Amino acid sequence: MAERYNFRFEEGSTYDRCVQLISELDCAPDALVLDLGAGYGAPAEAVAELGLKYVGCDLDGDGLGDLAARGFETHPLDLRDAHLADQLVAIVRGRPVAAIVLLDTVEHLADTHSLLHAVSDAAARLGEPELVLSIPNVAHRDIAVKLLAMGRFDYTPVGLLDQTHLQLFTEARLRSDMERYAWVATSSRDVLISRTEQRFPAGHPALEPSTPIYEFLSATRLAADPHGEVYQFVRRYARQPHDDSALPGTDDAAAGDVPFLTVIMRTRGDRDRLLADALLCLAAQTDRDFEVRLMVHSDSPVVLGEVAEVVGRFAASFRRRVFVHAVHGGGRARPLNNGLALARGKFVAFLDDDDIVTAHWVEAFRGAATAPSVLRSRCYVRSIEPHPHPDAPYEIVERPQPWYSAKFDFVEHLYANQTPICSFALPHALVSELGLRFDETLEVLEDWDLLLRAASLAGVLDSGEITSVYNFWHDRAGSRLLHDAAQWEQIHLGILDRFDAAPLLLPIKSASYLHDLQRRAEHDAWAAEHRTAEVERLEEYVRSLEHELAVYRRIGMTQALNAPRKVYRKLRSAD
Amino acid sequence: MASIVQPVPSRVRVQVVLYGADPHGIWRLTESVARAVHLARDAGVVSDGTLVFGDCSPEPALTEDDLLTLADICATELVAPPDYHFFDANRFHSGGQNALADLALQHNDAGGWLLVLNPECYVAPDLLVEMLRVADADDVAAVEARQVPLEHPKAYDRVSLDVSWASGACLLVHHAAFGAVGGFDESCFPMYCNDVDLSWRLRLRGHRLRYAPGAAVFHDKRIDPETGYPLPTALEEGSGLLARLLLTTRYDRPDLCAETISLIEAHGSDAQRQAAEEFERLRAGGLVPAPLAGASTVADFVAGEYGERRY
Repeated sequence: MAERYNFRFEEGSTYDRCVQLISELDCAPDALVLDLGAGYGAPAEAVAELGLKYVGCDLDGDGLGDLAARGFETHPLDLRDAHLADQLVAIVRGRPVAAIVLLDTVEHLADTHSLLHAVSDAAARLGEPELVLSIPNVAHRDIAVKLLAMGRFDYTPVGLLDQTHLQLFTEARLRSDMERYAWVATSSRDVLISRTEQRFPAGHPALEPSTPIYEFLSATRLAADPHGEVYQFVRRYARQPHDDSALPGTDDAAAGDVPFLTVIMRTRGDRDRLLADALLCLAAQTDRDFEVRLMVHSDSPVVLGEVAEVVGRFAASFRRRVFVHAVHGGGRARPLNNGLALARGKFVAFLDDDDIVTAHWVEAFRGAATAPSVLRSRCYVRSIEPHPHPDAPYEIVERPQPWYSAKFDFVEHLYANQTPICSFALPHALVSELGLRFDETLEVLEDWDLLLRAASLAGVLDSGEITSVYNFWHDRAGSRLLHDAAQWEQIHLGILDRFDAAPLLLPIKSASYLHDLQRRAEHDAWAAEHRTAEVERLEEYVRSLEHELAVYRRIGMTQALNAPRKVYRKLRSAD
Repeated sequence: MASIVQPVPSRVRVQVVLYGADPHGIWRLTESVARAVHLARDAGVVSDGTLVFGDCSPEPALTEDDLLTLADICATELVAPPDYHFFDANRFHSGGQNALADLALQHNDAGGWLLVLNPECYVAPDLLVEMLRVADADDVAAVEARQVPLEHPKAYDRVSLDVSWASGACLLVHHAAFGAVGGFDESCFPMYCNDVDLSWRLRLRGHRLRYAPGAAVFHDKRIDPETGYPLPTALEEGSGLLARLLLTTRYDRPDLCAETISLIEAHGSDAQRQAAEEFERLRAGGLVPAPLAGASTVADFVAGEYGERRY
């Protein structure tokens, strides 16, 4: 083995983290730690200090020789051997095994699955010890940004893209491969490195923080999943054998086809009539290719049962597409995020339990879905208030009004939201692949914040149809009334501050849009200035008339005053 | 005051008149009605619920396969398959509903309540339970459901729930009372204002009409971007205007009739002018209805609308 792989054991290193994971195990004294692909066995001494017996296995004689000279048990072992499991059982010879270790090894083998299959087989025969593994993350932000901005994918002697790597792993691939052999992560000590050896060539704008292109690409990558700065995955796994009927990741609905739309509806379960109306609107949809994730934000099992009872009243063809989920803790955004985690539809839309939609709400979204963009329909607003009669869910005070813009305008939306939560749908990929979630720290405007982020990345397609009615409560608890204007403004500005922290991706044709906006602003400023001069001129004229009027009064020419009086009144009224 | 003996549980006959309907829409409607019948039966307020379609289309709107599908849908709720009658003529809404009510008499299915239902509806599961609850008074002849997503702006008494007239989109009317007033007036009001006219004739006989805010019916109405109200149908402009003129005549408001005609002459659309001309032809031929005795006691013409509006 090349000397370049003779790494020292250092605090915080992969080896240190690996030993920490082993130290958490509850195992017999002197149990074995089988290090497969041990190389020079950097963690050997630290493992021994835990009271465990380190056993180094490798094909390379240099490393094994070094380990043996340090007093550790070693065995020559080819991890590609067809009888690898048998060999491991033979090495153990009935001794207890604390853990099997694969540090920076899997990526050097062409056939990952044969290795994992053999290790799993051996684990089953050795009393199911846990597996500790480290593996580099090929989806590190530095590699992603470099590949995207520069088209470069540079192998190096060591590091993330070690030139001897035969397999490349992302977190998703690692999880998938491990789950295939029933290994489920029980603990992790991932190595985070912000600036890696991949930051070359030096001085390139795409690789330097503070440049717009770096900041934008970096922010996009880091938002996609929590592993953008993970240099190495360092994790411990336990085997949880399963049968095919209970595959990980499945839920009560996953067996069916993927619907066009997931509707995430949030309720606190305290207004059954409104909820029933909202569900009625969904049951009556002309396009029924959707599922409903009804998120009940309550700790009360009674409330959950009452909501389930409302759903249960509907016909089977509808109620079997409505899944009721309890949501505990958190604020207004928690039910929405929990719903996003469950959503299976190609697009995801949202409703509150007091929203009303027309029969073509889903149909209009589908009609607009010519690309994986945010889909938007028009929403009208009607004012309502509580009704004194117990049967009536509300009193309508004002018929639906077009408060919101007919077409989506990104810049206008930065100033004020024009798209209530009931009137847009997100492509699911924004959630599953780009990690978009509602910000649970926001007390209000969480939908506006998410919409802007989604629109910036995916664009917006307007259906042009009016498909929803937002109920504006006049005198009852709603988010608008729970916070005063100053709080709204503060939250609004806070959201803008966060957008300011990174470059903002604007829609196509924004250059001419911004040009026209500036031109209009200049014209308006000129017009205002011109009006000011005109007002000053008129005021001077009024003063001269007032002076003239005073003169006439003094000389008693009342008849002669009629004409200037009229002029004076006219000018005053024009003020 | 008229009195209606209302046995509990009641019989309910749901009547839908079709004209070239979308089968998928009819499946949805059937599903919702069957469910509502099931729940009302479980609640002990309905003894027998039937669904009947009257088809005014030039060709049958529903095929044999469609009817089998509808039967399957009903079977899931343990409800009898719907009856289907192809009229082979356009009898319009009023004629179709009257014919279906008459068929009930022929088939010994009279008595109880009729639910007059628009084909573009999807009823709430508890619709019948809620409507029958509001109908539970001897002087109530008809009950109107609350429409979703666009509620009718017509006013109702906030305590008694009484209304001037009840919309025919989803109208529960006692079969006997319906028959006693001759049902809808299919000659004067084949489509528009037939519900207003029926309502006022029921009230003339001393019946009350009530609104059931707890009974929701989804009525597929789309919003007009200009007004915020439902989009008018193509026929509504002309036929609706003609119906208004006939209504003002029957309910003895010649002043409103003349005012409407003069407004149409000054500002009306082509369709409205044609309707006004048709009205004049009918009037010249003595074919407009004569004013009803006591009309002023029930007719509420308010600011161009029928009854007060809430908003």
